[in-house]
Order: sequence, then C-alpha cells, then structure tokens
Amino acid sequence: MPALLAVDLLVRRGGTVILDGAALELDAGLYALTGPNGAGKSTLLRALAGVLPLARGRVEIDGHDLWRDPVAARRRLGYLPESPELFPYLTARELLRTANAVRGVPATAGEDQFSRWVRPAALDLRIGTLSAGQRRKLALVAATCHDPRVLLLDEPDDALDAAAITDLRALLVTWRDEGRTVLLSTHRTQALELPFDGRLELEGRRVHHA
Amino acid sequence: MARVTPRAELSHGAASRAPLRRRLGLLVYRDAARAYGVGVALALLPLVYLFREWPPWAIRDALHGLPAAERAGVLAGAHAVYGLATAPLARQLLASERLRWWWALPLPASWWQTLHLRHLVLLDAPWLLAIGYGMTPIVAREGVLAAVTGGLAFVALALAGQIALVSVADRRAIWPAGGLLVWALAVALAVILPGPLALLLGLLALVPAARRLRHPFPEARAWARGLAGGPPVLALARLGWLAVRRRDGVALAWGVFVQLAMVMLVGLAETHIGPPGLQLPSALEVTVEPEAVRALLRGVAVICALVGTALALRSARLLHGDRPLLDTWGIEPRHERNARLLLATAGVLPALLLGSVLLPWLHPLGREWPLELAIAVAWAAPATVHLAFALEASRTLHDPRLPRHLLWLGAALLLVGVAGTTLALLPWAALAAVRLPAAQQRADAARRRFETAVRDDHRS
Repeated sequence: MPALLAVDLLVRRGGTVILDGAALELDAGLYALTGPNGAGKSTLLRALAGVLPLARGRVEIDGHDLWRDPVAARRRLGYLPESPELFPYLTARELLRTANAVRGVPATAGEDQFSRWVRPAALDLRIGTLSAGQRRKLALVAATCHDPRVLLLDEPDDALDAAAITDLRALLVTWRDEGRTVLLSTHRTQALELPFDGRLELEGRRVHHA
Repeated sequence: MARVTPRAELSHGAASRAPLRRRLGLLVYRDAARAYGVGVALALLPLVYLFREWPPWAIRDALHGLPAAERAGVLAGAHAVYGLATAPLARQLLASERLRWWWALPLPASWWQTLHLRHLVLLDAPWLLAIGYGMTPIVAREGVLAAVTGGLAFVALALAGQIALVSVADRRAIWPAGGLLVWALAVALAVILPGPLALLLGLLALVPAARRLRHPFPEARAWARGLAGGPPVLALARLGWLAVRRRDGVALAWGVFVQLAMVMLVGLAETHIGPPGLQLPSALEVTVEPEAVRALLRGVAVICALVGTALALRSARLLHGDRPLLDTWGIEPRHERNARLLLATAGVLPALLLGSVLLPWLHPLGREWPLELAIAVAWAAPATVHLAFALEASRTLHDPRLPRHLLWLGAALLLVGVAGTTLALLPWAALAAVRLPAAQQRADAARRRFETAVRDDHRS
C-alpha cells in the first residue's frame, strides 16, 4: 500500500484546468517536485492536501481516502502551504495548541522547535506581526509537529535563514530515515543538497517521474 | 535649476490632493456607517422599549432630580460604559490597517487631524445629541452660559477619552482601563464644577488629544496570551472566539452592549412593579404590572439569545477563508458542530451572568430569568448553527443576514407572546437540532466541490 496515492486528478482553479490526468504513487522516501513557474506544483500539493477540491480522481493518504475518510487521512498528513498568511490574529502558541488539540497530540508539541528556531518570546506574539521568515518557520512547525506519515511541503526553504535551512535539511533527512514520505516542491534541488529518493516533474498538466 | 516655491508647492499639492482626500474620506465614512449601522439597529431595540415606558424627558428630569454627587456617579458610569462599547469602533476608525497605508500618502498632518475629528463627531453624534438634550434644563436653571459650557465640556471629554483609549491600544490592559477610569472621573468632576471651569477641564483634555490625531496610531498589542487548546471541542470554540474577539471587536462589543442593556431594561421594569396608580417616590413615577414585566422578561430572553448566539455565525464567517488550512488538521465533524454550539451558547454569557445576579436581587420575579434564557438559547443556538452550515452549503455565508435574523426574532417573539411561554420555541429548536448533521454534511460537500474563496476582512 503506497503512503501517498493520487489517481487521475482533474483540478481546476477559477475555471481553468491546471491538472488533468495527474497521478502519482509514492512509498516512504524523500521526493522533489519540480517544474517551471505556473506548471501547477502548488496546485498539485494543495489538491493532495485536500485544500483544493477535485473535479475528478482520488487521493489516498496511507490507505485512507482523503475525501471519504477525511479525518483519518488528514491526521496522517502534514501540509506546508506556499504562502502561510493565515490566522494573523492568533499567536504562535495559540495556533499550535489549537492544531494540536484538534489532532489529538500533546498540547505543547512544536513549541520547543519554534522557540529554538525563532525565540521563546515569539510564541506569544500575534502571527501577523512576525516576519515572513518567522511565519514560514511557524507554518513548518505546525505542519510537522504531529509526526505525520506523509509530508507535503511547498517551497519549505523559502524565506528561511541559513541556520533554519541547515535544520530543515537535517529534519528532512531524519524524516526520510524514519520511513516517512516527504514530497517537497522546490526550484532549488541542487542548492538543498538533499539525498532525494526520486524526482517528479510537472509538465503538460501531468506528473512525470524524472 | 528651477525651484518651486513652498507656497506654489503647497497650492499645487492642495489642488491635486483634493480628489484623494474626498476618496479617502468617503471610504472611511463608509466603513463607519457600515459598522455603526448594525450597532444602531441593535441598540434601537432596547431604546424603543425604554422610551415607550420611560420617555427621554422623564429620564432626563430624573437625572437632574438626583443630588449632584449621585448624578456625577451615574453620568460617569454612563460615559465609561459608552466608551467601552464604542472603543472597538473608534479604533477601527482611527487605526485601521487600511489607514496605516494611507499615512504614506503626501497629506499634511492637519488633514488627518480634521478627518479624524470629523469621524469621531460622526461616531459620537447620537451621544453628543444626548448630551445636548440633557443640558437643556440647565438653561432655565443656571443660564445659557452654564448650559453651553457644561455641554461643551462633556463633548470635549467624550472625544478626548476615545482618542486616549485608541492611543494606548498597544499597551497592557491596565492602560486602557486606567484611561477609562480617568475619563469617568473627569466627567464626574465636570458635573460638580461650574460650567466654565468644566469647559476648561474638557479643553485641557481635548487639546493634547487633538494633537495626537496628527500622527498614526499604534498597532494593536502584538503580545497576547489567549486561552487556546484543551479538548478538541473547546479548542475549536476558543479559536472561533479569538477570531471574533480580535477581528471584529465592534460586532462583539455591540452584542454585549445590547444584551446588558436589555437585562438592565428588565431590571428597570422590575423596580417599578406595583399595582396600577401607585405613586412611587422616584422621579420616574410609573408602575408596571407583574404580568407585563414577565412578558418583557420572556421577550428579552429571546432577543438576548438571538443576539448572543450570533457569535457562532460571525465566527463561521471570519474563519471561512481559513477553512482549507483548518481542514488539513482533520477536524471531526461532531467536534466542529459541538464547538459551534458551545460558542453560540457562550455568546449569551453576558446576559446570563448579569441577569442571574441583578434581576432576582431587584425582584423575586427575576428568578425566572435563567430558565427563560436557557430555553431561548436551546432554540437560538441550534437554529443559528444550522443557519451557518446552510449558508456554507449554499455558498452565501458572507451575504448579510440581518433581515432573516429580524424575521426570526419577530416570529419567535410572536410565538412566545401568543403562547405566553418560551416553551413554545422548543419544537422549532428540536427541528433545527435534528437537521443540524445533514446541514453540516451539505456544507462539507460544498467544500469538496467548490474552491473556498479566501476573503480577508481582517479589521483589527
């Protein structure tokens, strides 16, 4: 049973077809999703995360259908959106605690990681007042603090400082070694210097294994 | 090198800035009218009943009949409550995110000062009119000068108080609380002092406050430690509460204000219960029969329930743009449903707390309040949550729903009035509760089929 399965996806945004017949099947490992600007990388990740509705097709996370069995599927999933501009009125701690409560993981999960990446006092600052890089780090922590089986990361190194990128690299390798499935969209596969297990390329509205 | 003289520069700039000023002014006025309009509509409900039973002149004369110290206390309290109720709106007018960008435009500081003063006068117009009306008996008693100077003193203090509250929005809560206290004390002092001295006091407050309008106001306090987490239902309810509290404080303040005003109205009626024709020592020489107060109590319970539970609808609207990310957390449908019901019920807490203490203390009839309110909430909570899901399913969550709410209110009041008991609402409540899971499924299905539009009406 693949950790992440997508079959015959048809995805429209604002009436425009972005993906048509896209499919993928990934086991545990670290995968890069590449493609030119506008190819639909973010759209594919959004569709795989259940953020975008599917006009056709199905997605399974660890054997659970994303739309028929959404709670089980999504609790095994961590998703980092491209622009984490959400919940500007919450503090970092409030966001993490709410997400943790809903997911049924310990209340303080992720707080240590965020404190280490930013600073402890930033936990009680409203997200709207954090810098772009700090928001990115928070979104990354929120996406991963429940130890999901499948991780979908959209440009995870975007806006991060050098120290955080080093941490991120180490985390990605750890997750891979732990047997998780990590799919990350990036333009900088070389710069990240990661031991990818596979590369997917989006072209012509479909996914190709490079 | 050609050099433009300052005068020519100013003249040219002023001419080119005129359309910009008009445009910006109109936008802010529109924001004010939109926010204030709902509040006025809600505040009118208790006022209409209040003025029917106790006309404005009776209230005014009763106030003037009080000893000076007592009058000072009542007016100080009234100003403090008014300041508290309108603080979110004043903040929206003077320090909205949109204004922050406009400060980068080439506009003189005096323009901002004038614009803001106009906004505040517009916001406070009903309050300023009430001040003017309240001062009219002083004309006959102490002369025009005392009335005018006294009235202007209250106006100056009202404007200065609001500016002061907005200017300390980034400080710890003790600062706004202290500002409110100083405002109330200054009002009490102005009641006791002769008119010209009171005006001097008002001007001493207004002049520095008006100068503050020449600079941008601070952002809302970034540091916050709200209650978050806990069991999933509680965590989601708290998320909804934080969304409304921090994104639409105006709606929240008006909802609380209306509930408290309605309860106080019942309390006022209770203090006048007596057989017809009985003359009370109070200046408000009106007696009310117990049955009339009981009917009022039931009606007020229905109104408070509907106004309070609207919190759940408001939070659903504010969180709608964030739904896609929320959905990635894997929320159990029953958790979300129960969280909305919990939030709706919690929205009625101001009326429950004040009414449960005040009304039984004023009259034994007030002991009926908690039960009547509980029955009304048992109707309003599932009905409002059902409405929110139904609107999500039909993708019309952001359409104005005031007409439907007023229709509901009218129907519920009619039902309760004809039946003579709030129990008449229970079949309606049962129907809404039974239909709730299906409405939620339809809302989920709509999200599965259609892209959720991210709608940012972030206000604070």
